[in-house]
Amino acid sequence: MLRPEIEELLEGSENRYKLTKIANLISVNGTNAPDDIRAMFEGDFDAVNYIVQSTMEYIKARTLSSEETCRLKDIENFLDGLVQIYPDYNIDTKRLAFFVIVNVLQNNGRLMEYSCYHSGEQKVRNMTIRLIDEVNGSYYLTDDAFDFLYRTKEVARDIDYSVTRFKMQEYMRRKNYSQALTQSWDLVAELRNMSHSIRDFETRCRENILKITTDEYERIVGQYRNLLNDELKQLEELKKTVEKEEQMIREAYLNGADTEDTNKNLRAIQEIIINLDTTIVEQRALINNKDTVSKTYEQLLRGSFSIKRYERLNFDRDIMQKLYRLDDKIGEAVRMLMYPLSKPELGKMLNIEDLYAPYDSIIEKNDERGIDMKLTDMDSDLKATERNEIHNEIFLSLFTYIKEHAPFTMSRFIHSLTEDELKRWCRDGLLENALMTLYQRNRLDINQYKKQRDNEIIKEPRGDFDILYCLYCLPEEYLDFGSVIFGKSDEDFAFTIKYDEETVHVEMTNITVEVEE
Amino acid sequence: MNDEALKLYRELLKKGYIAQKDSQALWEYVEDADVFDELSEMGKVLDFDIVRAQGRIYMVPTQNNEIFLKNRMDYRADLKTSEIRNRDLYLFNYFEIYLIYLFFRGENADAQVMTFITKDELIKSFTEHCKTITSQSIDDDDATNDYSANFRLLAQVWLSKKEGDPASRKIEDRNGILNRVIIRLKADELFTVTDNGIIRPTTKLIDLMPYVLRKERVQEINKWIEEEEKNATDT
Repeated sequence: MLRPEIEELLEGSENRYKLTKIANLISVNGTNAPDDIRAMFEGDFDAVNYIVQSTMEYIKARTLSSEETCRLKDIENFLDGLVQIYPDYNIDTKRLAFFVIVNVLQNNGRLMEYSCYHSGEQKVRNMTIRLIDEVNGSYYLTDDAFDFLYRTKEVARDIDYSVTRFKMQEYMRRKNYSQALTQSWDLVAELRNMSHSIRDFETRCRENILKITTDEYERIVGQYRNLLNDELKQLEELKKTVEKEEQMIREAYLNGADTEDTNKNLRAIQEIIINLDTTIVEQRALINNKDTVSKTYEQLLRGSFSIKRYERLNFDRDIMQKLYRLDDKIGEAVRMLMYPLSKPELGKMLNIEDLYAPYDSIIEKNDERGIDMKLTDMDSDLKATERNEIHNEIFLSLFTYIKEHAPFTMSRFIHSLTEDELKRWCRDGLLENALMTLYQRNRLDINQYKKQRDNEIIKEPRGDFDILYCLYCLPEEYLDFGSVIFGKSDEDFAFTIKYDEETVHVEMTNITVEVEE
Repeated sequence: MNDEALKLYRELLKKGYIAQKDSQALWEYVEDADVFDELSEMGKVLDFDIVRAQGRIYMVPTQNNEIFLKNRMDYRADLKTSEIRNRDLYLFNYFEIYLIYLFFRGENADAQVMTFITKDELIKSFTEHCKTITSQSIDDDDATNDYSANFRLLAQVWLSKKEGDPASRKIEDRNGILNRVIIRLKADELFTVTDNGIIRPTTKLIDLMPYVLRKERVQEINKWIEEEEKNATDT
């Protein structure tokens, strides 16, 4: 047991320690920075750290504003503007945005776990930190990150909602409209912060209710319970006062008090009214939302009692180390271990392909045990790979020519090739076969291909000419048109290739090649 | 036979789970203790377990369920290739379990230690892992782990592959293997991947991992290994 004076000293220290851990987490230094980031900033980690912190500020500002979303692209735009303060460095903001978000703020996807004495529970326990959440491609600061930013912004900053409202009331009474306006903005920001905090809580409840402690529920939901209802009344009163004030200034203005100050005050007051309206509307929504969150929490908690808890094995010791020792059957072992994750595969019972499956397994029989590294297998593969490479070379060359010269006839393309290319490509008749296949296909619908590519796996052929695969291997810039049409012309053409020991004479239809956008 | 339990069973056959947010009507059956018990009883005869998670129930095949379980051919079909060699197939299988291990290897309160991983990080991590395997001498008695000869070969197969294009699907390169494994895992709804290469476990995987890693499976695993070893000596 701790002595009472120490216990008192440590009260709430876990919250302070959390801030220290967050500061550690967002610090980039010589040991954790990737090489390209280090090079980009020439080892100036203060610059990197300042950018990380500013990005957090930006996410906060953007998600609390009416924009509400903050995508990677928005962060890139922000960084484009921010990096002007470092004119000496050559900064790739796209890479930097990814680094700040994914590597630093999301800690590469790893939960930041640490242990700390928890004064409430009076024991050391494991805790986790998460700085940003991603919802549909938009990033939001978590409650922890908000807390960190608020507490580090200004030492004298008062973050209490009631105090802000009170200050605003006082400034209004003293007719200090510019300060009252600043306070009204803070009021909006703090309210949105609360609403964010509730949303964050709800998300985490939905993810896993078992990770939420009742303390947390009380802290997040309970603290707003009375505050919001009381505050709503106060705000409505305040709004009436401000509207009266506006009326008075307006009358003074109509009575000839057309000074610069009157105008300025009127503008400030109008803006204050807008902010108060926003605050009142959003506060009402928050009160409703708070009740919904309470209900959701209770519902989820009730449901969680029917979820069975399992004692867990040790993944490394009980599974991985056993796998390492298996001499063969590694594949079967993995499937055995992971079978509970399979989907029901009823379709396969009714699939005609499975009638032929036994034939396939006979072919595989010799290959059943161990890892077969037969040379012959490798040899035949090399040949297939070489043929695939040649087909890809032909395609690249043809599409380069199409891009620059379409429409044209095939004889022109053939004459543009070097002697070495012709020798290599025609040795097994690969070029002639490829061109004739294209001619028979008549039309290559590139858009159709792109859809197909996105939805299915394009298999690498075993040396056969496969149009889909060749298209798949082409760089994207060669595919910026709708279709390529291979048509018949009335003329034939011929060309000759001289090898050391023989001469090959090729005759073929002079195919026409056109492009449709 | 309870009609509601049958309706749940039919729905579960479609994609393996029922989510509360997809159908509140069906979820009411789930919350009815009698219906739920009936469904669990059906599982005992038809070789499946019902696993309940937050807002979802899953139908999970038990080990002797020959109807639902994937066999070798199904795996090949999922990888969209019938011509893959065994050494590569083993690599695919192991790569898959390694990915799951990276996410769920926690020994403390929570098994899940990561929320996502980038493709680059995954390749880097697996390559390091394979280097550790191959660098350990067979005769090294003090070695941390005992790796079989075939396991070392598997690691060498990975190390011998080139990095490849990030969009590659070729078996000859590391990116190609990763992309095919991800497609397979996506088919079973276990992982998702974004355009910028961020791989995340799905709710389904997160929900089912406590069941997959339950302690009572240790006996099941040991028994399987014993049988396999016995079969190997017999042949």
